[in-house]
Amino acid sequence: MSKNKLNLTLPPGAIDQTPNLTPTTTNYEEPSHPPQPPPTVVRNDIDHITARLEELDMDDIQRRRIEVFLCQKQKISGDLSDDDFEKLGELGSGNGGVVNKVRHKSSGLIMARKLIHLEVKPAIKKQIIRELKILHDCNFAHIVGFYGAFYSDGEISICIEYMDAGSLDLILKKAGRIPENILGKITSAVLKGLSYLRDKHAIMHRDVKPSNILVNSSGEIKICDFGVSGQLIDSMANSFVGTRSYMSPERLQGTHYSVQSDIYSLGLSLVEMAIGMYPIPPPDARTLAAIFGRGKDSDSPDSPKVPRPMAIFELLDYIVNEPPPKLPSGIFSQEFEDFVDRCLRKNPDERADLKTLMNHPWIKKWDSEDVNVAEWICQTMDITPPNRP
Amino acid sequence: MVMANEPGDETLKKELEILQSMIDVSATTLEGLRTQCVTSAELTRQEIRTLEGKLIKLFSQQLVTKSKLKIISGIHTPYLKQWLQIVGLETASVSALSQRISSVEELQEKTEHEIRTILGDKQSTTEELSRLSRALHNLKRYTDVLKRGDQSSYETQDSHLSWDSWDRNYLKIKHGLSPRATRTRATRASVPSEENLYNNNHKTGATIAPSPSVSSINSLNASSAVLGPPEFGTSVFSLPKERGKEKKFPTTPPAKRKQLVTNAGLLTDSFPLTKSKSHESQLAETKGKSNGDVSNINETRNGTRRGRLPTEPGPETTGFTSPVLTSPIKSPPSSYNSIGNDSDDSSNKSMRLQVPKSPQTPPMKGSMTHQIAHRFQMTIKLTAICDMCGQKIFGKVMKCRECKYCCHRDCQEKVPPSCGLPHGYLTAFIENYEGNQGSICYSPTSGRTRKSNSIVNSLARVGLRKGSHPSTTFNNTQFPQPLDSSSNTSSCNSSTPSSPAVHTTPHSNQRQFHFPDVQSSSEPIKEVTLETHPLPAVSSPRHHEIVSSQSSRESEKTVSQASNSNSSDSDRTPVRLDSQDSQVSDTDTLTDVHMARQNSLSLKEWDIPYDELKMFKEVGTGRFGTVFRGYWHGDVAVKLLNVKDDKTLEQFKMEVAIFRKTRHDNLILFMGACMKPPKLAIVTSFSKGNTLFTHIHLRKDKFNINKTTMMGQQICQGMGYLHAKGIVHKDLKTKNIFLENGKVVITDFGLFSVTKLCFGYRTESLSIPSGWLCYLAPAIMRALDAHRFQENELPFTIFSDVYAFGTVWYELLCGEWPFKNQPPEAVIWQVGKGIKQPLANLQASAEVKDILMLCWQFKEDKRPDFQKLSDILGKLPKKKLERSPSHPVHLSRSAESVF
Repeated sequence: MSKNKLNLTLPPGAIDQTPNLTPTTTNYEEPSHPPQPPPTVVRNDIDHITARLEELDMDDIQRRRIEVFLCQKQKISGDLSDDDFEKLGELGSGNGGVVNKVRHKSSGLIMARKLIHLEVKPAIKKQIIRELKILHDCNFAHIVGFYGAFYSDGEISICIEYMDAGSLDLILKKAGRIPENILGKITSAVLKGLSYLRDKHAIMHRDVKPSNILVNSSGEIKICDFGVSGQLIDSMANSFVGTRSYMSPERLQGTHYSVQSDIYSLGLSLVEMAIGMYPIPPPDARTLAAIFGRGKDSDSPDSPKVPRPMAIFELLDYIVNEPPPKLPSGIFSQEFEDFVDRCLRKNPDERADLKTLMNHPWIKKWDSEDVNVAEWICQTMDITPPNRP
Repeated sequence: MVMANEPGDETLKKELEILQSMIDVSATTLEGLRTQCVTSAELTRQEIRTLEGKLIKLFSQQLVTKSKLKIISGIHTPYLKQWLQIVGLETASVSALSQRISSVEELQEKTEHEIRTILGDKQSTTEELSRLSRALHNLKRYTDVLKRGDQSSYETQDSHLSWDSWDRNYLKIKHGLSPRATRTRATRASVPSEENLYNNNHKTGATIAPSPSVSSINSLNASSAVLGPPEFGTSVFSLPKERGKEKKFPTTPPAKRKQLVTNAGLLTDSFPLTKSKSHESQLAETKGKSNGDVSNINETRNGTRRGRLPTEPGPETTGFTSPVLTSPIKSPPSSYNSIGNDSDDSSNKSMRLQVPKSPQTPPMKGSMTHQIAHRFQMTIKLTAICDMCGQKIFGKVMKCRECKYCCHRDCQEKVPPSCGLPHGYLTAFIENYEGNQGSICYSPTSGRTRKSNSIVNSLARVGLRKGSHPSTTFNNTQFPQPLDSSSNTSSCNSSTPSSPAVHTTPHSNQRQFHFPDVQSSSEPIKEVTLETHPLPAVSSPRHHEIVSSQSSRESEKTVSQASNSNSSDSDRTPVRLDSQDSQVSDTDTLTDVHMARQNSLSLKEWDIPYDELKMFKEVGTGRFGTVFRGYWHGDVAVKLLNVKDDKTLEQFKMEVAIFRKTRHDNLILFMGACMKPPKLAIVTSFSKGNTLFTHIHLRKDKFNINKTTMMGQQICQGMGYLHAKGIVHKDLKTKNIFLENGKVVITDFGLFSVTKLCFGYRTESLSIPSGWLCYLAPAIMRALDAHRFQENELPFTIFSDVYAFGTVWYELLCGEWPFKNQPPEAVIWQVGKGIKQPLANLQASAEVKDILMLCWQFKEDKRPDFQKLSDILGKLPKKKLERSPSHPVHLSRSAESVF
């Protein structure tokens, strides 16, 4: 299966048809697009997509889940609009906006609706919505499903699949640390997601970090918030710079960067999730002892983590000029340490690429091992395991 | 600061606390000014002086309040250490003194000799001593005023109470100039301003003889102070102290002698320009206050003057570097007499003579002997810079046929008779003038008018003095002073001193301006007499104070931050009639004292009842709140602030105090504010144009290099003015710059600190508005901290404003932001590291790019100031306009073709 993804070249028509799943999107069709098939063809589209899904690196369960998702998505008729939703609660505030849990009234679907405040001209709005439409084509086991996007009242709404266990930064907060086996599964999923994006859509994520990796009680691991719409990024009124940054040194320096930059971000995220704290500046021996003192297997989440506060520039300069973070030796497997080291090389050319990493022994190891991610997630987050197919 | 008659101890203690908090604020500001600002800048000095005066008042109030307490135990409030630090003593001296002395009161009891003994082994400089003695003297002077309870009637100008506590390095440089400057100021005052002249003519004697009189008074005072007539005990104390410290004057000798001594040079060193300023201001104020009749002048001169003189000395002696000024004059007794005798006509001669004697007169000496009038001719130039006010000239230019001096038509009358004067001298003159200017502005009457008056006066005097002084040597100081007044008030650039507003002002003084210079010389003398009136009433040596009182109000207003003469002007114009009112208001805003009276007054001036505002549509939202288009006596922009906490409210009030002082063609006009929470709003004129942001980033307008340069220059002028006022914009960006019919209007200066607090509080992350980062200078980038953003002030400085201008300049050139499309972290790191946006792809001349590189210098002291930038921009090679040839091209061609 893995070979398929490389060989696969989707006929342009096939991609174009996917938007038909939500017929309303036709309004935003780019002029260059071939004429849309009539709505009646929708069923065929799903077949078409399903056919293509078989070529992707997914197992049967994953494929079925996507089919289910697509079918549900079909229930949404017409343009999404503000009136279609009923707010159920707030999931958090992401980069540049609030995320609400909502119910799509007519279909009863539960979604996550991300609101991004934008004050832009109509033409720009349309461009953003159009650019976001590529998300309709991103149907993959490790990519968060997309229902649609619309503009209302100064805000762009992006409606995506609701992941009931939230993002990894939330889980990390709750769990303290994430065990290596879970991290192995997570890493594998993220790598697959990244290569899917790169190979099928020629896009890079640009913002890999724990809060952009979502999980659910079924043990699914999906990435979201990737840089689909350049216009959206440009139009965002505010961006947030926090106390931690996952940006690669080469990107900070303003030099050319590529998907290798995502790999650095992934490596940094892995270290953070493994040791339970943002690794810059690196924790000293005492802190590590406090974290891991009771033994590697202890998953006690309540060890003190008080990173030395750094001003933003100081932090960034550390990333650029100081040795990259690494896993504390002797606590994790050799393979994991090596994997992280390869991800965090400051020189992007020395950094391992996606393909190499996917074949890394550490990944292979966890791919072949059966880890019950769902159970761990449910335990950690106190969720009753769902009865899923 | 009149308090309830018999307040209980509790009330008094509260009062003390309030005063202490005010002191803390002012002290911090003062410290900042001393250490972080360029103290060689006249405006900074003025602010320092104003603050010093303010602090003197506050300490005096504390002392007086404390003295009313029945139980003093446990009250430490006037903190000795703080006092000493404020005075500007070295840490070593502070600790030495505080070891031996426990309270400010005790310190006051000490003689200079004792203090010197304490400090002696600490190697404290004589400068420290003189500072301390002057400060103490001023403190006592004002305390006495307070105790008598007449401070309301005799508001001392803050700058009069100052003692010039900035670093000596600068002082030394200044000293030479400063004394002269002082003199010049005095001269100005003495020289009848146009207004004065006008008044004299029209109002003949009885009416108010404003500015000129003041000036003369000052000079008289100064001289008299030296003489120190026995009548005024208070004055005596002040003088001796100062002198004693300086060691120059063991006792209060006859004024003349003292002056001479001072001239010798010692005094000059010890006393910086401030004094001179104060004099001027005093003079100006006196003008306003002394509405006395001209007829009185003569009398006062003879009789009252002398009396006053002694009283005045305190401030003068302290403030005045007059010695220098006087020294040149050196004709002591005769001048003195002559002054008194001088009446209108004879004034010219007598004035000259007097000048040397009285401090005021010294300016005359100092004043330029060079007095060659320009021969202006109107020409049309496309671009020229006014040599007078530094602003661009569009269209008609007045150009001297002899020396090529260029200026606006409106500026023409302000130009000193400096034809052929080397540029260096002129510049020096201007600089000095600026220093003086501050004080001038403070005059109670409309600030603007005074400035112009003063200028005129000074000019006039200069002329006179030439005659008087055989030596034609230019005293740089003298010239500079007059010029300064004009130049300083950059705000006034747009509105020339003689602008209509001035005329409308009720003061008769203004009208006097129209008199020819020659006549004016005699008039000032008259004015002097006018001042005498207040003196008798006061009875105490406080003449100075009285005179200065009006000015002090103004200064107080400004005190909070960058108090400039200019600002005071703006305030005054509306308020001037009631000197008291204006004073009150000033203090209120600044300190937020709970003086009901003051508050009410201040509010009256600037508070716009929220109900009076009509709000129309929302124009936009900023970090600080929402902007509406509104109506209040015309179109206005209303910025509604969402301020919740008290701290922000305080900050808001401070901002308003700043805004109302700004008057410049390239700055948005501040009209008022709604000050009653929760309805807080700032009301400004409504900019009808688009922002540069809209032009550049939304409409993608392209400007040619000429237009770009012009806009750049206007921004520099506006910003230069703000900086001269001590205001840091903190948020200069194209979104805050409007383009209105080709004119640049800068908005939202100083708002940033308020807006910052209005941010959504998002934990552990900074909300970074798009297109904000690229304006931040490296130092600010490095200070960004998501952990403590809310508590920490970002280190905005005038240099960071220059950096921001670099970015604006880049936008003007390129149509986009630097570091476009880079994530915020990348911008933060690169800028923080000193990396600049590469300019390889920028199609522009090297000169144009150099400006970018200068503004973006990593080290802030390498960035040029806006004055320099304006010069650089002015020198950019201009693309020639493509004019059609004077002869009809088509015809000629067709003619050729025919052939």
